[in-house]
Amino acid sequence: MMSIGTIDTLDALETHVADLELRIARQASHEAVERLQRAYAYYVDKGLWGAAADLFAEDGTWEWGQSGVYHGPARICAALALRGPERLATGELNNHYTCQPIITIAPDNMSAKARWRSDMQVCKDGAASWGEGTYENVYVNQDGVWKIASLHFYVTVLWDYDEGWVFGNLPMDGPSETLPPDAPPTEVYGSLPDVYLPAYHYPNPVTGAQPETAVLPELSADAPDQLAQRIEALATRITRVEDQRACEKLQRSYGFYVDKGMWNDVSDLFVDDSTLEIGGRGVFLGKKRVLEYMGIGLGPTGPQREQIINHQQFQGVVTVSDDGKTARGRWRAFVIGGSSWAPVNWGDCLYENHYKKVDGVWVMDKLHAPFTMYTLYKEGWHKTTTPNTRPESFPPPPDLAPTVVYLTYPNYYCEPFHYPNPVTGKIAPPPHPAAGGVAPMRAMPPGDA
Amino acid sequence: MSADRIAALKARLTHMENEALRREDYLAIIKLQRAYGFYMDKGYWREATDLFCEDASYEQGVDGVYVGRERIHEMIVKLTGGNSGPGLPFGQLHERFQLQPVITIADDGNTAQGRWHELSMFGQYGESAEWGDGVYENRYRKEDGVWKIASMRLYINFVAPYEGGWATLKSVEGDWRSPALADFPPDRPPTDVYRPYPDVHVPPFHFTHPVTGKAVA
Repeated sequence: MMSIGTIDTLDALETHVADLELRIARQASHEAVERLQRAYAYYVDKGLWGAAADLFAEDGTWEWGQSGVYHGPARICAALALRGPERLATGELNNHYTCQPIITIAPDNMSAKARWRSDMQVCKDGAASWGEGTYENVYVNQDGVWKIASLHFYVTVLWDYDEGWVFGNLPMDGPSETLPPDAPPTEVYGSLPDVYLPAYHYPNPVTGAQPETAVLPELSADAPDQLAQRIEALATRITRVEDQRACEKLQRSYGFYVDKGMWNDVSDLFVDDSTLEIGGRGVFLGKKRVLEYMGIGLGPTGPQREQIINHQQFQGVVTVSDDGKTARGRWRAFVIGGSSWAPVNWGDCLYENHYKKVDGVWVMDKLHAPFTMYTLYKEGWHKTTTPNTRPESFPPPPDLAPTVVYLTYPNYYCEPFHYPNPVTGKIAPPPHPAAGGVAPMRAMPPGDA
Repeated sequence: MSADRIAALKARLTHMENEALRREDYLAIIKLQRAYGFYMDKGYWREATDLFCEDASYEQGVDGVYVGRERIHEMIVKLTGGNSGPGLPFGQLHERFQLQPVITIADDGNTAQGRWHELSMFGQYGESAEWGDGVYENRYRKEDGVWKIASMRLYINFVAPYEGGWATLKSVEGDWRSPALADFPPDRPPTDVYRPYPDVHVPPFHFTHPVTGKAVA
């Protein structure tokens, strides 16, 4: 029996409010974990070893490549300081661009796990190098303060900047002799030319999805003071934030799977009426053809020795529709690609993707990825660029012709922005008629754009 | 009894509505800065500078402070080759990756600060290619419910040639202001006269240490 102000009605309202409180607290934790790991990277960038070590729990652990494991903030600080003096010395560079987080907050909001990646630009003893790798970290919520419980960085590749990856791979250091670790490496592996797949802390976001929909008592619309309506409005807002995070996870997972040639997991992010269009290759219809595109066009399944195909997913602008059924995302991919048998190149790609929610799970609806630029590592983008691909560039052939024909850098193409200007609310005009040419781009009279 | 419970429910809901707004604010501010980057990539200077408050300021390197949206627009056009856009001419690459945000929203929800790491790819086909590295410490302000950029401070760390990269850079001597702004002086002098890589400069942190709560400098 439900009636105004009865205990049953209030019980139901309180159950809903408690559920929303936990969901919002977990979203706040998501932000706190982002802050924690990004702060770590900013401190490490500048040799602020003490500040970085203070982000760890008392029993926290740190493991970097084959360094072995260090226990507790004091030992972690000492291990970090093997890289150079506090605040670095003139000429030293230790950039750790730390990106592409997949953060999973535990249902009770007391712990979290996350996969991240870092690009590292380094200069030591006058030698420039670059590296890239994956984190699988654990975090703990201690009395409302999030701390790093374990940081494990898996090195994918380190290279001599002048030579590039594949040509100039550098080995990982083993455990330090001057400061031996507290425990040996937990996993023994090599960086490029070797390959290794750090285990994912989370299942495939589509095939492994377990939508977290709590079973809640029905709310009576007659509850006092419009409480049921307020709860429903708030629940919708919280769901939209969760939707955005789910779309971010989907896109970032796509990148992590492509990195390692995990074509089945890539295609599982799509459904039977999804489409994929990358560069000028045309449109592929449905998840089966996505699998063919990847497996036939890009090589065998799984990470291959002497090969790297990093598709680093950065800078997502995700917009969820008001009804929560569809979303759009503009992203970039920073590509580190090549092998001992294929060109070694940097790639800079753009996405304007569509996502949709099917049975409570966000999936890839349309992946649309116009390249901006590809260049050979040995040359650089001022000397050599690879023109756009075409339907016949490599097999398999597409189902449909390209939806847009354009030329990559040094030419100019701007894929339209899916979102209106976040401040003015206006749709961006098309490019100036002279864009991409050599004629001067003179200011156009207002209204001409 | 039930009046107490209803009052408690209302208080919890009010608190959560405010909390939900913080989550939305956080995502809106991140979107704002990332949108800035995507506009800059493609030569959409007007769209990029429309993200600023009317009275916003912009400062990069040791170029000094430019005040007001129109001044910022003019400055960005000068710094990026002088074309009005929208669009880039043949051969210009201007990729500005906006990475690693740490966003701190003020308790009143009206202002915020953000630190970002920018990785750039600059180039002119047939002539030059460079990597760029910089850190932003920006301020944001909510006006009529819309987040805008109130001030942008880009601490350029290096612009290094593709060939040889950052290892080829030498310490700057004296004035390293942008030559493109020689005839376009700032409204205020630089807030911080520093030297970029290979010297070591730590851009000040707007946020306290996430665990100890202390300032990091």
